[in-house]
Amino acid sequence: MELHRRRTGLVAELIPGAIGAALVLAALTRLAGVDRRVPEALLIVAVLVAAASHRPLRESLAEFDRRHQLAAAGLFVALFLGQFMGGKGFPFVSWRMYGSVAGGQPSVYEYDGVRADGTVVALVPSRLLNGITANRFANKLAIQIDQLRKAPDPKVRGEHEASVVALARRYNDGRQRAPIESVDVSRIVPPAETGDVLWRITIP
Amino acid sequence: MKARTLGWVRAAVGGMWLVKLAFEPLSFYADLPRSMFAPPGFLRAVPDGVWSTVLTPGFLTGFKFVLLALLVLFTLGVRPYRPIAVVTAVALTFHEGLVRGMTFVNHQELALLYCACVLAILPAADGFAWPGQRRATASAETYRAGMTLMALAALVPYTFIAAHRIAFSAPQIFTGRSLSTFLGSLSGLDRDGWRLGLHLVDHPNLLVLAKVVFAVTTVFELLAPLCLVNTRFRRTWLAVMIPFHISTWFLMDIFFWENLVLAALLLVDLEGVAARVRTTLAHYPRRRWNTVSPA
Repeated sequence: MELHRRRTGLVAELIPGAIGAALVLAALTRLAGVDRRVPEALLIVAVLVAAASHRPLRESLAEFDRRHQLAAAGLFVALFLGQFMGGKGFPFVSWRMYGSVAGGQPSVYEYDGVRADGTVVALVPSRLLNGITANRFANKLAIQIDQLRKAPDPKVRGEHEASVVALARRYNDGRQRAPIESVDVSRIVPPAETGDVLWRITIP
Repeated sequence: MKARTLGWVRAAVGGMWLVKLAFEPLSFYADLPRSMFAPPGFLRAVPDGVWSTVLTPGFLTGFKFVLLALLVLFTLGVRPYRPIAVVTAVALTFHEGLVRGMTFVNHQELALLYCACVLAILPAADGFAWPGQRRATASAETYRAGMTLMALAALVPYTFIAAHRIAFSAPQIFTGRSLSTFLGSLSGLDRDGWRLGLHLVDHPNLLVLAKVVFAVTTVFELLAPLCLVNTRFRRTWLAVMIPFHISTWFLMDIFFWENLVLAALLLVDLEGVAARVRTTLAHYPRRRWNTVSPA
């Protein structure tokens, strides 16, 4: 795209200055104990203003007709507002990945199906569901287990058991002669290779 | 910019959605307890009774096939393009809200969703579409503006991620135990995954290097929109972020492959690449099958 090839001397000075100023402001607001959403917003606005200060970029978007310009503006406003609304603004969500300080020991959860004859089979979501669903579901199970380990909750417990049962039934489909009858949910603390069974869930 | 370039992006975005959803067992969500479902965002406006119908195996399977059919039409750019694209974008948004409502709200596929929504309002079937020849209905500048808008929609979320991380958790998140906790927990999420993150946790020197890379990558995430301002920065950004996305696949079993494809589509001069490929191929003489001379 030829707009990338143009350079503006003023912009080359403005962008680092704007971002540097934003970083200083963000640090000052943090030190002053201001709500951390303020430095977050400052950083975002600084980068977007720095990008918008590049005339070829503005001119590119200005080529849209009025309707499309309004739609584009609406998109950016929605993205910005969604960042501060959690999941409430879906599909404009808070983009937070590895944004919180984590401590303690990492936990790995594993699920082992136990058949009537005592044999154990690994119950692995990625073997029973496709990639996206498996990852999403495995994360959900981990969230449920983390919640239950912090504080027992009958609702979460019920949902967790039903989720594990659903996974086990998916395994049992087509394996009527040797179905899983219960599932052991285990927690492993890396670098250990094995862990402790947290609980066993019976498959009705 | 030519209409066909936007058409290539339309076809690629539609194709990626087809790859993602073709084998998705959507009906599995009907097996999960109804109490788990918490519709996010605008889906909360849907009456509760509707979900009782939606969250059934029959409806979910039927919806999936309708969505796949729409995606095929969208990918091909079949006419009437605008209504098909808008309905597809709405159906995709509904699908993404549905699966998140049953599990949790995460970010994967959202950049791809934004691109699908932007393509729905652009003249993205004026070129590279089937059937038949099409004529451009907009100026070259309009097609270029569309590409710019999609690039921004894909890049701005990186800024959000980094701004939140810096504002809320820096510097502790880079200096403390956070990275080893992330690597350990996520790397073990899939028993069949690479699990390399679990091994990294065992090597303190490598962990220090990973923390430095984490901090540097965060700065590049923050400055992502500046890819559209400076060519040299864009190349550096790609050189940092492509290995970053590949490394998270090996270390955390998280692979945002669709973001890599979007980066290639939206940050690379596709027309320039296509011209170079044509020039290279033109140097190879065509084999002539009908030039045998009589003795």
